[in-house]
Amino acid sequence: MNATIPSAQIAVVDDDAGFRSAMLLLLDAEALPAVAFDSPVAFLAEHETATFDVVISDVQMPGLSGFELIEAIDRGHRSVPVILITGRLEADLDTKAQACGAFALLRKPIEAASLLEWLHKALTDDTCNERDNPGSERVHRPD
Amino acid sequence: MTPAMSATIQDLNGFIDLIDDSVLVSSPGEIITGWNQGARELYGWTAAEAIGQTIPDLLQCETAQPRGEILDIVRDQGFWTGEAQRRSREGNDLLISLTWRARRAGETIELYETSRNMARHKELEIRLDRAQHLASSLFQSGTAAFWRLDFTRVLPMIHAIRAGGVKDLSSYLANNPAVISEMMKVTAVIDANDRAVEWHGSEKSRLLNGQLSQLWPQDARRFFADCVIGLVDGNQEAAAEVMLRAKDGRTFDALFTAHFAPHAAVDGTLVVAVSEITDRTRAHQAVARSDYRYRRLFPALAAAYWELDMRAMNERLALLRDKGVDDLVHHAARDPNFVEDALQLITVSDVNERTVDMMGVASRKDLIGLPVSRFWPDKSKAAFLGALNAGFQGFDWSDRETRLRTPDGREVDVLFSAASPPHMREIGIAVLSVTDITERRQAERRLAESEYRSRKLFEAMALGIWELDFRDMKAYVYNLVQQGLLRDLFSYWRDNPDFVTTMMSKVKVVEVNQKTLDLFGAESQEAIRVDLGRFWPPESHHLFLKAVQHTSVLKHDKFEAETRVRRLDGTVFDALFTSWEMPEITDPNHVLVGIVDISEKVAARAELARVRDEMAHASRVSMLGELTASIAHELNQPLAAITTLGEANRRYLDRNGVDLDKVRELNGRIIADTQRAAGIIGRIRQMAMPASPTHSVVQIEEVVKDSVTFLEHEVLSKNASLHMSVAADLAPVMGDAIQLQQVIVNLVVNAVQAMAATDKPERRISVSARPGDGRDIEILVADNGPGIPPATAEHIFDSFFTTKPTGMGIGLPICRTIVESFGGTIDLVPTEIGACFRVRLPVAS
Repeated sequence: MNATIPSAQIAVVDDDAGFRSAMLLLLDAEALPAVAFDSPVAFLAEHETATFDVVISDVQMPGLSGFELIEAIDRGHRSVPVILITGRLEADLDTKAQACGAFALLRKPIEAASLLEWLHKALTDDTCNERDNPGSERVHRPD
Repeated sequence: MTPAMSATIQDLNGFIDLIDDSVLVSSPGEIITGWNQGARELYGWTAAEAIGQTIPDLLQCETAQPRGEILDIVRDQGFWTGEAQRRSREGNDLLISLTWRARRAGETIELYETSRNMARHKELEIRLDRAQHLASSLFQSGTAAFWRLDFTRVLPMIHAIRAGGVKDLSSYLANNPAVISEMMKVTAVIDANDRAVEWHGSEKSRLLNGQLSQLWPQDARRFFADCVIGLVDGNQEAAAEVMLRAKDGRTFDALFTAHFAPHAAVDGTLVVAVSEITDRTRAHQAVARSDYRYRRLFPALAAAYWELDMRAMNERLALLRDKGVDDLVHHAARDPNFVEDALQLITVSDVNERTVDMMGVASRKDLIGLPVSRFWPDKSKAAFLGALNAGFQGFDWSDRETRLRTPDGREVDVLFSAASPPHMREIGIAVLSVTDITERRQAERRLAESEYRSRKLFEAMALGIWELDFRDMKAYVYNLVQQGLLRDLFSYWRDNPDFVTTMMSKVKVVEVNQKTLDLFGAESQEAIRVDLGRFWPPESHHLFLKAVQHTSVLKHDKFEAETRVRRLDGTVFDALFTSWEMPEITDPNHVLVGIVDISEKVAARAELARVRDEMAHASRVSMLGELTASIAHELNQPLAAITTLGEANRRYLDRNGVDLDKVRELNGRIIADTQRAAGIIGRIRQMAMPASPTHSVVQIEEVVKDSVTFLEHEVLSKNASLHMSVAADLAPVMGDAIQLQQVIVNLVVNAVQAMAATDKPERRISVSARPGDGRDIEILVADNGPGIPPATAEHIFDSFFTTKPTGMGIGLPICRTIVESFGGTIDLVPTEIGACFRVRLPVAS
C-alpha cells in the first residue's frame, strides 16, 4: 500500500504521548514522513511556515479541540485535509466533524488499513486543497 | 434513630424513675430526652408531654446567669449548681435548686439535671423556725417558772460516789445533805424565765450568775437530788411539791417537775418547771381551762392537742382495779369488748386548731363530744390499749406511734403522747398530744423503698459488680518499684510479658453480685474465686494494666473503657468495664469493678458500620457509573496505542530483512501501554471493590494525586480544568485511602456536573490540601460554577436529597459519614464565586 501513497509531509497532533509515538511508528513502517505535535497550538505555530499535506489529529485535547483546530486552519487560509481520530463514543461527534469540514472521523483504536486508505484519499483528492465550500460533504465514512 | 439508641433512652427513663428527686435529661440544646416521676411531681408535666420539648419553653426557666455561660461551665467543669425560677404546668412559679451534669453518650453530650423545690425546702425551714420560736415563747409565757440548769459538773461527782461503792444513791443523798450542797454549788443556771425571776424576787442576772445553793429553796433540795438521780439513771420524770414564799410574802404550794429527755445525761442540761398549785389555782393550773394564756397557747401549739374526758373511763378502771385487775392488756385478752367499750367511754372535751387541721374538719365543735372510737382504726387499738394500760399502771405519760383515722376517712401516721399526771387524773382529764408524722413515715417508707430498690438494682441491674482485693498485687508491684526494676508499668510489661498475668494471679475476688455470676457463667461465689486471668483474654491485658494505672496509681475517681472479657467456659464477650476505688466504704485496697454486657450494642455498632461500608461502596459504584464514559475513553487511549503499535510491528516484520531493534522497541512500547491500561483498570477496581475500610496512616498528597488522575479524563471531557495544590510536608492523617479518595472524587464530580450545566467559558476546579487551624489538615474542593443556593445548602448532606435528575442523593451524606468515621468534618465554606467544600481531618497521632 505504501507504494500507492505519494510521499508527503504528515502532521500528527495528539496530547497522548503513547498514541502519538505509536502513530509515528506506524507511519514510519509505511515509510511516510511525519512530524508529531502534542497540541493544536504547537501545530498551528509550525503550520505558519511549514507545509503539511495532511493532518491526523485527536479530537479531545486540552486547550483547542480537533474541531477548533480545523476552524483555526480555515481561518489561516492554508487549507489542509484533517483526519480526526477520537476515543470518544458519542454519536453526535460525526455530525460535528462533518459540520466543521473534517476529512474523516476515525474511532480509536484505529485499524491501520483504514487509516492508510484515508491518508491515500486525502493526498490524492484534489478537492481537499480547496476549502471554498466547507459545508459540503467532506467527511468520509469508512465502510 | 437506631433501635439500639431508642432502647437506651427507654432504659434511661426507667432508671431515672428510681430517683426521688426530679431528674431530667436533655441535649445541649436543652431538648428534653428523659423525665422522671420526680420531675412529673415537681412540674406537673408527664414524661410524654415533656420529652421533645425544650427546657426554656416547657418550664419558662429563668436563671440569674445567662444560660450560655452555664452551658459553658457545664462543658468545662462537668457540672453546675444553682437556682432557677421556673413555672409548673399549673402556672405556679417555683424556685428550684438544680444541678446540671454533662455526660458523654457516644458522640453527643447529655445534660443530667437534678432539681428540688426550694420553696418547699424553705417552708420546712420556716416551720422549724416557728416551732423553735414557739418552744421559746412557751418557755417564757408559761404559767410555770422555768429554770434551765447545767449539771455537767455534777455528773462526775455522781460517778465518783458510785465508784466509791454507793449502790443506793437516793438514800446516800438523803443522808448526806452536804453532798447535795456541793452539787448545787457546781450547778449553773443557764436560763430562767420571767416567772422564775418574778417568784424569786430578784434580777435575772442574779439568777444566772448566782449559785444554785443560794437561790434554790431549802425545801426543794430533795427534789434537786431526785433530778440528779433521774438524770443519771434515765428516769422519765421527777416531781415534788414544795411550799414557796413569794416576794410579797404570801406562801404557795409549788409543783417542781423535771422531764428528762433521752439524751439529757449526755447533754447535761435539764429544764425544771415550777408551777403554782395552791388550792385555788390547782384546778386552774392543771386543767388550765379558763386560763387565758393557756387558751392562747393551746391552739397555737405545733402539735395537735386533744383533751379527753376520762371520767367515765376512770370509773370503769376503778371497778376493774377493785376486782383485782392490774394489767389492762391481760384483761383485754379475756374481755374482747373491753377496748371497744373503752373507746366509747372516752370522749373529746377539747382540741386545738392544729387538731382541727389534722382531722380535716371545719371547727373544734366537729370533734368535741365525740367518743374517741371514731378516730381509732382497728389496727391502732393495740397502741390505744398500751397507752391506757400505761396510765392504769401509774405512768403519767407514754408515747407511741400509730395511725389515726380522720372523719373524712384518711389515715394519718401519728406520734401520740398520752399524759394524765395525778392532778389531772383526779379531775378526769387526759391530754393527748398528737404529731402528724405522715410525712416522716412516707419519707421513711420511701427511704426503705429506695434502699430496697438499690439493693434490687445491685442485684437485678445489668451491671455485674466485683469487689476485688488488690493488696497482694499492689505489694508485688511496689516491691518491684523498690527494687528499682519497675519504673513504668507498660515498659516493664513490654520487657516482661508475664507481668500482667502475674499481677492478675495476685488479685483476690472478694465478692460479686448475682449478675456477675450469671454473666460469667459461675454457679456460686466459690466458683468465681479463681485466678482473675481466667476472665481476661490476652487481647484485654493492655486494658487491665491501664485500669490499674488509672485507679490505683493515678487515683482517678473512675476508669471506664470497652473491652472483651472471658466467661468461665472460655467464650469471650464485649463489655463495658468500669473500675473505681471507694476507700470511704470499702477496704482501701479494694477496688470495685462493674461489667456491663454490651455484646448486643457492639454487634449493633458493627452492623451499623457494615451498612455504612455498604452504602459507601454503593455510592462508589454509582459514581463509577456516572464516570463510565470518561473511564472508557481513558482506557481507550492505551488500547489505541497498543493496536497501532501492533500494526506497525507487523509491517516491520513483513519487510525483507527484519529490523529487530525496531521490533524490540515496538514490543517495549506495547508492554508499557498495556501496563498503563492495567493501571487504569486497577484504579477502577479499587473503587469498585467492596473492601472494608482500614484505619491506617494516609498521606493526603497521594490521595489527592490519585483522585486527580482518576478524574483527569472526566474533567477534560466536560471542558473543565482541574488544578491541584498540596502544601509541602503535610502531616499524615488516619483513615482509609480509597474512602478518602472517594470523598474527593465525589466532590470533584459534583463540581464538574454543576459546571456542565452552565455555559461558563472557563470551568475551573481546584483541589488543595493544607494544614488547618489546630491539629488537623484541610482539603478544599472549589469550583467557579453556579454555586449552591442557601436553601439547598441546608440539605446537601441529607440522605436522598438531590438536585440532579439522575442522582441518588447519597453522595454527600456518604462523604460526611466517611469523613466523620475518621474523626473529621465536612462543610460548605461560603464563597463569592462557585462552591467550596472543606474536609477537615485530624492529624494522625
